[in-house]
Amino acid sequence: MVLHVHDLVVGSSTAPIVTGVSLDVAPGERVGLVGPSGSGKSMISRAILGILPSSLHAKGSVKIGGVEVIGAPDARLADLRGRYVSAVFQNPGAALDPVHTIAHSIGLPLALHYDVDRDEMRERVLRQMDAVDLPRSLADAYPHQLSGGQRQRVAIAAALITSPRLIITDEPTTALDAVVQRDVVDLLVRLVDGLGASLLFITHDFAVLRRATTRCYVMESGRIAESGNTEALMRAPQTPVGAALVEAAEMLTLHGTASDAMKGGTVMKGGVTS
Amino acid sequence: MTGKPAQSAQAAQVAPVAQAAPAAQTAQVTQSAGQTKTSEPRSAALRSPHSQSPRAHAHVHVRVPYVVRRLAAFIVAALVQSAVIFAFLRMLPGDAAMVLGGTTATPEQTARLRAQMGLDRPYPVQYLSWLSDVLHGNLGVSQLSGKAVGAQVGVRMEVTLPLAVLGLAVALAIGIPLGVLAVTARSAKLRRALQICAIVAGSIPALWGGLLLVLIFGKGVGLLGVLPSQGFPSGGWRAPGRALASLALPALSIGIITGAQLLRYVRSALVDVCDTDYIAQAMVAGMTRAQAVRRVGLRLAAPQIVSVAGLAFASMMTGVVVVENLFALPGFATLLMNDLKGRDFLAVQSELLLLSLLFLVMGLVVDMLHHALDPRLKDAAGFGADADGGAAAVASAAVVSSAATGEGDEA
Amino acid sequence: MNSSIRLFVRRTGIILRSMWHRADGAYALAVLMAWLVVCAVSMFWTPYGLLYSDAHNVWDGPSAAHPLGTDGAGHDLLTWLMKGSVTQLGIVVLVVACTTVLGLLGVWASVGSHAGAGRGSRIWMVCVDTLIAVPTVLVAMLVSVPLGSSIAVIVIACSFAYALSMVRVTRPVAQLAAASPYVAASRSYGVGEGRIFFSHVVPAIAPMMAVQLSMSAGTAILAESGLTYLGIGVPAGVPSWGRSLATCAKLITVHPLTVIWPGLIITAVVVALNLLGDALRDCADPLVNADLRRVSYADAVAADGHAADGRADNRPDGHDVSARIEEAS
Repeated sequence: MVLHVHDLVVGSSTAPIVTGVSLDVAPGERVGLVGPSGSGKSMISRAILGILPSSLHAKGSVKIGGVEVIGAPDARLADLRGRYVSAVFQNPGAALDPVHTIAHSIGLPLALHYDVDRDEMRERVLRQMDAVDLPRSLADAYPHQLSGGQRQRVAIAAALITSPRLIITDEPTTALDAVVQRDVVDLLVRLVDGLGASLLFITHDFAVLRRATTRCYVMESGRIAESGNTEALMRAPQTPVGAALVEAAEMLTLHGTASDAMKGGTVMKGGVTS
Repeated sequence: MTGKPAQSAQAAQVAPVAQAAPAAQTAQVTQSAGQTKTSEPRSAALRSPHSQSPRAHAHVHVRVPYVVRRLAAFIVAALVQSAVIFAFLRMLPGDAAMVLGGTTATPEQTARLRAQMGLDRPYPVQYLSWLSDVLHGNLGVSQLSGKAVGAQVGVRMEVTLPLAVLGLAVALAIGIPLGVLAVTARSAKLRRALQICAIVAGSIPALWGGLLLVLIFGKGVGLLGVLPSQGFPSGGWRAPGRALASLALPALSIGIITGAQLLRYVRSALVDVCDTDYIAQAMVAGMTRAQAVRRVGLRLAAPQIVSVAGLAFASMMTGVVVVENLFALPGFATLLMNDLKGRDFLAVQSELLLLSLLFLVMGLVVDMLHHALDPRLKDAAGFGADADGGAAAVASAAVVSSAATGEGDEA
Repeated sequence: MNSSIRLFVRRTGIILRSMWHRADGAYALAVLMAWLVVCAVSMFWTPYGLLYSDAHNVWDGPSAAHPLGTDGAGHDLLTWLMKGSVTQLGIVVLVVACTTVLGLLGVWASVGSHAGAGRGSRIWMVCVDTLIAVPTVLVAMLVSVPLGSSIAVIVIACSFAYALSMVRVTRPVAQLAAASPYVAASRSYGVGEGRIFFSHVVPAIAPMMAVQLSMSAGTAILAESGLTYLGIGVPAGVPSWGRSLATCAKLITVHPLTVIWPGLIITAVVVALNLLGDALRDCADPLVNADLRRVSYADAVAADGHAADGRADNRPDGHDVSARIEEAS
């Protein structure tokens, strides 16, 4: 198990946000965590990574690669983050360091965990940019000079440069427009599969989930409502919240039946629009 | 009190800040592209002026006009301030002729004195002649001492400028590291203790603080009589060791108080940054929270800290008057006060002008530092937006620092 | 009318009680109460008269006869500090009052009735921003030229700085309040500008005002000590903490310890004022103070005319509210 969460509880001193969530991610698996806004999905990802805001605390058990995360000292978590597990956030414009170039940001996980000399670092950053379909000329640009889709690619590049075993993406496409969304999802899936890594894909959009994951968990109000194979769940949701999410996905993503042709997460290569 | 969202540096004393307090920005007369008029330190430091800025290649074209515009704004502001100073002093009752004449002069004698000193000419003429004198380097002659104002100010500035520099150095050395510690320390007790120390240190009257230092360190009167507590060597800086020694206690006095205020400001700016995804991203790359706050958070809050520091420095020029008095230092602030008390308005005029120029220069310096620190500013296209010459910036800095400190600039 | 007064009293009681339960709020309230008590007492009784002079015990340390010692003229320090507390209170009250008046005027001018979007408002803000940078000490020195050494100097200098600061700090919130659809509706009903200002804009900026005012009070006390020492603050012969501090300071080389007490008292009170602002801001905010939330809701429900069905004092649970919604739809 790359990720094993058992009975996770997250909350502030007055109100719980996540109540007893358990989930697993096996090596090489792509798993989704879907739910309406406010169901606590983001808090789970932050609890897993140990980056909860100071006003919240987590209880229960979270094991990343067998290492217990809850209650562990920050130094141990910092060692795991960026090397074994990495993340991509929803709004890269508000996450990427605005005062450093994107080459710096992409190479940061590498620099923090390994001793790499400048030339090799540059080379690896550039190769990573190639992998995410970013023109090399942007290496010394700043995040504010890039479009939203480009920024998200930078975030993905940074998340994968150390070949981590688990990538957690928290609503990575929500802030992007529809065409770019698809490309980014396909890119993510391609790269993750290429590394043989696992993916925990958090979103509220079932349509995106179908493209990106094979198995998923549905959340509502801080707990898991149902789980199972993504395709199967979409065809026959067992809970009201599941049904609502599926319906919303079918309504809003105008693909309707046309998208059935792309079932099962077939990935389309190329077509970078950003 | 901690961990609340959306609190900016309007800083109530203790801790986080109330809502929507303006963020410190650059000192007077800067043209920061639209960033200046925002509220929280977070939004000011971290928000790009434009969500989709033009690409990098545009910035060369914007550079040249920017520098020119900036200098133009500087000159305009300087002129406006000189006019305001001139007008204000003319409004005050009494003038140099009356002072010189004293109570014994007859009206005719006073009138003759006035004519001699050129005080009977129409105001605009006086103003222009003053300006042209200043531009030629002649700051006038003090009515009280008969000496050239320029020379006097020069001598006094030898004391006050280094004092302010040292004071600022002490304040930064205390405020920044301890402010960071107040956020990153693992022990909640330590964090709380630092906060309390900061509040208390910022609430000490400068006079009392100075006295306490004298009681501890002052030669002759203190427990450890190591540092001089009165006066400044008459040789000035030709004896650097002694000059420095006589500035040590005064600099500590203002430095500790300003440092406490800076601590609270740095702390609240960092607390704001802590909840952003910038810190999360850094942590996810492999930094611990403390590292992320130090390496990323502090860097992001740097522009505002620079603003607050710049304003604090400029304010010290007058703010040190109490300390100068206590330690019997012949400084610029004391000169200004004595001249005001002595109604020597011609001297005061030039001194105030110098003071305001200093503020403007500080603003320029802070502005340049902002540009160096934040690449987004270099690209932002909207320079015309802030025709106020960045007054907004200083205002914010003043409010924030006074907010974060709770003391205005009473040093 | 009656009920809103009752509501106000009730809310104030809750705010004070919440403040008392916090460490900083408790300290602030305790110190301020002690200060008020000393003021009240000193109006009727002090150990000695102000002008009483014990010529045999000049520059004495603490003793049975003079608990805090005497100064250079044999005056009893305790007496002077007690009487000084009244002066200090007067200064603080004046500064807070002037800051409030000037600040509200400034907010009115910057927000006015056009949500501050106009040219005039922009120019106004530029002026505010420039003036704010003028150091308080400088303002005091300039004002002391016509006014000499007087309390007015302190009051003018401090309220000038903080009124401007208040205007600047509260501007975003004030503009938001003034531009709200609620206000537009009221205006269309013919409600006067003044009424709108006081019933909508002012409550919106009240918490920030409270913080600014408490800070101005703290600064007033600190400024007083510095300015009195410089000779442009409280006039000679009038007791104040700054005067005691200044008097003792002048002869510190001879009698070092006399300076401890005035400075200590000043620091303690300024800390209390600072903490007061903070605690007040938190406790008066319904979003932060749960007790306040409950009262507000309960009273709102009662005012609405809905039956207080025994649950008026608890937060309504989700079923109750959603049931009502379903009923309504």
